[in-house]
Amino acid sequence: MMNLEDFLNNYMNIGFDPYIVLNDNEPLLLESDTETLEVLSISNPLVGKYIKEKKLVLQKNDWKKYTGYFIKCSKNSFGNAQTCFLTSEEGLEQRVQNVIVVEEGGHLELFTGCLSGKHVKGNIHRSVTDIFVGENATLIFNMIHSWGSTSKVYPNVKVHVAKGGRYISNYIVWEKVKEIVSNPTVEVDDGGQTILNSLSYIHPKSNIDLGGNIKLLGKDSVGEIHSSAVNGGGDFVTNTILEGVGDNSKGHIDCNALLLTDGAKVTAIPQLFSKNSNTQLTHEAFLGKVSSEEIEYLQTKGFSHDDAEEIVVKGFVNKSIEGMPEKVQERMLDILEKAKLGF
Amino acid sequence: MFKVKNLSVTVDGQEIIKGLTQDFTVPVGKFFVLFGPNGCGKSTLFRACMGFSKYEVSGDILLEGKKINGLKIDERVKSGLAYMYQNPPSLKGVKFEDVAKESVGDDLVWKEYSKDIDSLDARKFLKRDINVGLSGGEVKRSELLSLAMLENTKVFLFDEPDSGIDLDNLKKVGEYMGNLLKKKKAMGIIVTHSGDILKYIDAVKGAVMYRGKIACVGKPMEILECIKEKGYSKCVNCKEVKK
Repeated sequence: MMNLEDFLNNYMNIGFDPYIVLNDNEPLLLESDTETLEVLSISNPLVGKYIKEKKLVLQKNDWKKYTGYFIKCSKNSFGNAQTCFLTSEEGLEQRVQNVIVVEEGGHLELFTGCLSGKHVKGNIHRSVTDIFVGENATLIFNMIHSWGSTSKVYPNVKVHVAKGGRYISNYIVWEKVKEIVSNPTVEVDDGGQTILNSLSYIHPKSNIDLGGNIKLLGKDSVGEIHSSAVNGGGDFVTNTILEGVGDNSKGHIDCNALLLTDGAKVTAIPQLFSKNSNTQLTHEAFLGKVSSEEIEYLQTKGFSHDDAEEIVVKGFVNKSIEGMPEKVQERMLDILEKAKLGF
Repeated sequence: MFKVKNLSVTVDGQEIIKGLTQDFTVPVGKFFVLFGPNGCGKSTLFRACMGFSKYEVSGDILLEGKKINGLKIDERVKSGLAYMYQNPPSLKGVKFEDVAKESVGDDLVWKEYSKDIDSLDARKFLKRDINVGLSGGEVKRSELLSLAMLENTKVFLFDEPDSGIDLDNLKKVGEYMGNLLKKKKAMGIIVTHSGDILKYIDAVKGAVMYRGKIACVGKPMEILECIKEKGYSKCVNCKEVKK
């Protein structure tokens, strides 16, 4: 695991401004407020006032002490920001409540990372994030995990996409973590769109549960879930749900998982619920080993079996991150280079 | 340079080649042509010689006098045996250029292949995924370019390089294959059905493979004429071309 300074300055720093860091359960100290973008501590009274005024319904929690941010991209504005969650105390349970609002016509890109200090063992991260994507607004939410090998992570994300809005999530877990359970729920109104992309590497003794639930409530709403995993010996579950409610709503789920060892376990549970005859929902899945035909092909080009397997897995990763923002792709390829694929 | 001795090959429990003994050696820069009807074992012979899984082999595969049976595919390649696929797999997400650069190991060395890239009109697919969405001609040219990057090759096995391509590509592919042999100081064994590519390569010896055995050896053009005139079954018994 890298140290904090390297992480913040090099690994996670992609040049977005502001760059906010939330440490343990301490409040966000460096707030920022511009015409286009507000970044406030969740405990700032102005946040409560805004939520009340706009009648935003948030997920409830009964925490007494917690951290978190409020990010708002103003109407017809363009903004981006980096956020980072840190845990520095051993055994600490970090509790986070976040609210993200992109007002009508706004465009916001977030790049989020997370890290535990080297000495930190057995930490837990719980978060509740409510996201409101306004009419014809866009939110691109990029998350690259870098928790410790003993960390347990339970994010709870709920998203509402208003008419013509877009919510795109790119969720990457490549470094070793004990457990992640992340199954965001997204409700999509008329003409809205959401895409949930995830890519993970499952290390031995890791449990990764990455899925999602998209409710296509509006007419002409569209939803896609693309779940990709390379399993090096852990337990991977992807529970994905598409509900077609609105007229002419369309949705697709796909899951692709490469199993590198015999101990690797994958459970893909795609569920399609059609509540309207004018909806079209599909799913497909591939779970299996790296193709021996492809490995042997590369061996005829002079590569050893192991090198050939690495090339094929890299190809799988390349396909999985295709279409993600360039900065995410660059970061992912960087991770691959450093991690040597994790095996 | 390359021969098989008492070679038997079984695939999924079925013996495709039985006790085949044949010296395929021809001079450097020249081709040995293997004819034969569909399913007679030509591609099986090549794939067994390369060491692909699912091909159970007994007997000897000898490259420059050394038995290579026990070697892995990449070790056979490093020993000097190269194979051009008839229908290579597609590798999604794997760019030709990335793999080629990794194969040659150095950007400067990669630049040395600029001429090969141009003569194979390959620039357009360098940045694409390997064999994904390529035309028949592009697949063959892509295969040839990857063969050009191998070092120390002594024997090239070309599995139907003339199948599924138009006349322009046929000429390009045939001429490049001949130049490749000369450049690498290697010999080639080629499987062909139509024989169309023989116009562009220097083929000095040929054989007909029939039901897993060599039925006839002779001059390639004479064998081809015989096949065209009499068909494979008659060709097998044609004494005139046996030499």
